[in-house]
Amino acid sequence: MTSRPQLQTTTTASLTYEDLSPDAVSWLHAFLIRSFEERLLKLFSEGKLFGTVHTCIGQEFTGVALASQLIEGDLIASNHRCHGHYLARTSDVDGLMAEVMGRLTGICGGRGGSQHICAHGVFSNGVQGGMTPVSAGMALAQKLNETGNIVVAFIGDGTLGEGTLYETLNVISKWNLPLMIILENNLYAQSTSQTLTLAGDICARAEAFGITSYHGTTANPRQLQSTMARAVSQVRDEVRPAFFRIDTSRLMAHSKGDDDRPKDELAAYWAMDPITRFTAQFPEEAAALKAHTEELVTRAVEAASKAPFANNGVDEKSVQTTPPWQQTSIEGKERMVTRIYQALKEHMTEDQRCFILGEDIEGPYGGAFKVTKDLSLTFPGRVRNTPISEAAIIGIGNGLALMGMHPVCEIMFGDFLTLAADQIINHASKFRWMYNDQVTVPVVIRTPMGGRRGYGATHSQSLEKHFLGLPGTRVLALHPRYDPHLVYQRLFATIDRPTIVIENKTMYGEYVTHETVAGFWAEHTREDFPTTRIRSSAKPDVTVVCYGGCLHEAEKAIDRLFEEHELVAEILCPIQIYPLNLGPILDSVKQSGRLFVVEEGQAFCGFGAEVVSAVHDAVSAGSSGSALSSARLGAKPHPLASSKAAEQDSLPGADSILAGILELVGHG
Amino acid sequence: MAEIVFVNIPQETVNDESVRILSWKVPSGSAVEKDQQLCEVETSKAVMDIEAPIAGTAIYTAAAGDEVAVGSTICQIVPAGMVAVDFATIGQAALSSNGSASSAGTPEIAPVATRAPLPLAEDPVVPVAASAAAEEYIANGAGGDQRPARLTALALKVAVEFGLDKDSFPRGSLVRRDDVLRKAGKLPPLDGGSRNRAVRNGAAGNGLTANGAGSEAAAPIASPVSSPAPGAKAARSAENEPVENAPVTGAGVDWTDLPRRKIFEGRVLAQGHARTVQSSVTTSVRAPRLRLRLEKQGLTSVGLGALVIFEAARLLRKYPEFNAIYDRGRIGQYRDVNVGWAIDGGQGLMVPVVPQADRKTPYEIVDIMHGQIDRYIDSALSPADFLGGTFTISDLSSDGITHFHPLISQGQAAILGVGGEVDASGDETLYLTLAFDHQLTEGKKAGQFVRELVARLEAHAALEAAPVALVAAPQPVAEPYCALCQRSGSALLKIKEMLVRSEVPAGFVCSVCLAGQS
Repeated sequence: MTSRPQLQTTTTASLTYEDLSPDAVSWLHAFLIRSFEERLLKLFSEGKLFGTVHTCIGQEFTGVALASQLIEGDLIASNHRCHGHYLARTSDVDGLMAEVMGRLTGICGGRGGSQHICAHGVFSNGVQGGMTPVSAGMALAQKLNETGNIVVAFIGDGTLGEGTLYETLNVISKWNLPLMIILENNLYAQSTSQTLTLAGDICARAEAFGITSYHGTTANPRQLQSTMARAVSQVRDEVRPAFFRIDTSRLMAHSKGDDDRPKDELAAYWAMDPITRFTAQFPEEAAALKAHTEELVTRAVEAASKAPFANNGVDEKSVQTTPPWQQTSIEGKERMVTRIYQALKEHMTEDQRCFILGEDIEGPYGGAFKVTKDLSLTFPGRVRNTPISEAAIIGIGNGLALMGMHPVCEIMFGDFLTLAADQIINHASKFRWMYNDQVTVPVVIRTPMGGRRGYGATHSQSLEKHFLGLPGTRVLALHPRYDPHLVYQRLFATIDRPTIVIENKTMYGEYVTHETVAGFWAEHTREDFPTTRIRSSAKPDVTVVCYGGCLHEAEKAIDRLFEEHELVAEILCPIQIYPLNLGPILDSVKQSGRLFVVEEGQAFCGFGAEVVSAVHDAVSAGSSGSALSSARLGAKPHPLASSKAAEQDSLPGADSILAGILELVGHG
Repeated sequence: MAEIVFVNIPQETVNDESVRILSWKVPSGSAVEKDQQLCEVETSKAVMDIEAPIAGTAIYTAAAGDEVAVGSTICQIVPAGMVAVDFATIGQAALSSNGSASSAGTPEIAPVATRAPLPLAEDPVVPVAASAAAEEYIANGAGGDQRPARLTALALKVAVEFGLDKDSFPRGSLVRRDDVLRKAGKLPPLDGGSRNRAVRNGAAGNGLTANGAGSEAAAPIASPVSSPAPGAKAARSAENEPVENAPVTGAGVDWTDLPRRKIFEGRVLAQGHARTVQSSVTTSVRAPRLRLRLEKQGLTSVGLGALVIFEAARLLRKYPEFNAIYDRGRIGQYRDVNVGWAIDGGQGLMVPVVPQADRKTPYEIVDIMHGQIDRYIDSALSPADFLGGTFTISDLSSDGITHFHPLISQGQAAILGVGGEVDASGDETLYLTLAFDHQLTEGKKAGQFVRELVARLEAHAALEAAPVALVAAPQPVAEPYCALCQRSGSALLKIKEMLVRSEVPAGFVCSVCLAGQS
């Protein structure tokens, strides 16, 4: 972490940075933020900005009061209205201006823009409440690594409507994390008055979680600063979270052009504004500060205007290779669950960065599916039970990952990934690219998917398709013909991105073995996360593509396909289902001329649809039409019943796979 | 009334469909207290203890090392006072006679899927189909392409017609009907191009070529076995192979591998033969009304089998020397009576086992046999179905066989063969042949066994002939009594014995008479 950049004051005769008292530094920052954002509004009206711009004009002292109390290494998690927090902490006018103007020289190379910034220990994202569990994870990392640093998260009063906030308040209090949540209470959520949406008391919310709350107002910067000093000291010295409500007034619109507040109300806010009052009382000093900061902003705009616009960098090429096929040795006869457990244990032993969190994962219970077993006893403090808070689990994982740790989050049932969808989609998958590759998010999300256990409509689904295709992420699906220990070993050794690992729940108790359909054998591509092929020495009549839990049913189907119908199928079962290496599938399809894809989830817009269209695209490329015929199979289009026969009937099994293949082949 | 309590594997974790038994804490047949630890089982989560739900005598139906399904029974606890008394004594006698319990305190149970219930230390492990496959798999290396060719049902049928079998085809290959016809010269060979393309797919530049398939494909298609090509795998000359059993000199021999199933069966029988001194006695029973009786009771679906198993099993408790094993001057007494019954419905001879047949009703035995027949047809008989046979019955009476000499299986002392003959008047005569190990007993005892068995079977037939007299007898009596010794239930309770419901004779039989101590 670099220290705060120094204000460059060489061209301003009347003031130098060294001449200013600490209090004067605060005023300088407040004026800097005001000048910066007033310029943004001007640039916006000139059409020189993209999107919109959220200003904090009138709220400058929230960030300023905080910044005066932070030390090197402390971190800030901010929101859509982040300019003031960043400038107060870093004074980095040039970097932020270039960023907001979408230039390559911006702090995130122009990719993030106004709401998504990352530099000098300040992280922001544009989703209400989304950064609160992330900041909790960052605070957990400080505590685990005993840095003595604290984390501060900014929210607005509008954020009080978000459930993620309350998941976070609960966890940070229970775990005593060095995190302060500052609520900027400006009475409006975009255009909606707080009186219409907020029930109860704000500080009572935090206190209900056992979190000490503080209160201040930007109308009295001196008092705000001293209260802030007490709050920061509590968080730092007692390693206890705090909640700070700062009453403040946003003098301009939420965003551009969405202000319907009465004129007289706004006038009252202007009258209370500390900069307005300072200017009235000390006009000469104010004029000097204004001139100085406007000069800094002008130079920043000039520099940014000369810089090139942001670019998208070079995308990872979609892989389409066929690495050599190999067979792996599987030692002993052990269950999937044991092999996963062993891999986790090994990584926990070897790498202090590994931290496991989830619901009910501590021993002796050891997780709903017993994967973590006794790890919490072997690695005290590094395997933690969480409250039932999926968004917080993944959010904390994201925060730990941003701090360079290797969190492994367990979501008890894959169905509940939806509860953490925002953390996966808008946070984990976005940080790296949006922050211009300054960070990686090596978070592992393990979750069981799939039916055939009678758990009913909300505990049996295969929802992974909703998480396929998020750029910058990886989705793996384990199966028992390839040692999951190897998969996790490679994952921990190479992880550079959020990775969801689908562990089919019926497979946990199965033994890991090469043994497959008689007359066939299993082999794997030589990759970190290979594609498994169940093949024979005969030319395949059809290529069956599946993953995870469907492999078992597909094996049964091709066994009968050969025995009863004298047709030879070849199964391609990729472990990495996103990004997907089409190469091995294409090779097989070129042999068989027929493609059958089966998945346990709903097939509409699913994995099968993607594979079929991608294969068609590839096969027909450069030729006039392809002779390829294809079909796909998924679960029937209704929720899954708990009752066994009904559930089996809904899911693609050996019978329906066989029937589907026969229809495709024309034997039906 | 106290009942036998079955100890089942509980569903402890959501992952497991089966668990592994690590060790039994006391020998089978021991008296156990309520909540006493019986065994340790390994789930995917952890090792857990299984405790006795009640006090009584623990009789195991699974061994250490076994992988058993969740919900299945691994042990029966027979409460004190029930007929298990004789089990306990037989068990103790057996243990003290072979000495395995005296030193270690726990029975030595080999950790294999299938074995005799009370294996002696010198007994070789009996290979089962699964482990045989594993051995073969390992012997041939990890490559799946080294396993024998797989033929579809249709291909096999056609292959038989041309005298071909799986070894006529390259190892690791899949064989369909057309492949057989091609091999037999009834279809033109595939053109080299298309065949090579299939093989190249397998090769993919990493040396994983299905070498059998590859070399065969390049060579001209071999002709059928009758005129073997030089070096063809299907027909190997005797001179090239080491042999244990030398053929007659001067006569040419073509060697063909037997199916694995047949090899296993032969091994079991050969070992049984090698370690016993076989003798046999035969007697006949005229059973004109026996089948009619069974029909009325709904027991005919498995022929006479269920009834013969039912009666023979109970009789074996009286004649324990036929439910035993000989080993170097010692007799090993099996604690349970587990009766194997031969079944051959076209998919090969198999001998599934009715466990503890002496404690089951004819209806329970029929249920078990039906289940095994269903699994036989589906080729789904599991190692559990073959577990621990201590005596075998082979019933060929419905197949038009009058008399045959059955072969004693390995680890057993006797086998009962049932033949049958229907005379011109339509009356049926059954011929019961008991082949037994003369090292353990003698013909006189064997004769007593079969004659008593005949008496019991005739009693069933008599029931049909004079149903009123025998069935009605116990009904007017308020208190149940033993049909053999006439002692009342209350009198028996005083001497800590009890009545059990009996089919033959109808009514009740006391545990004293049932154990054959009258």
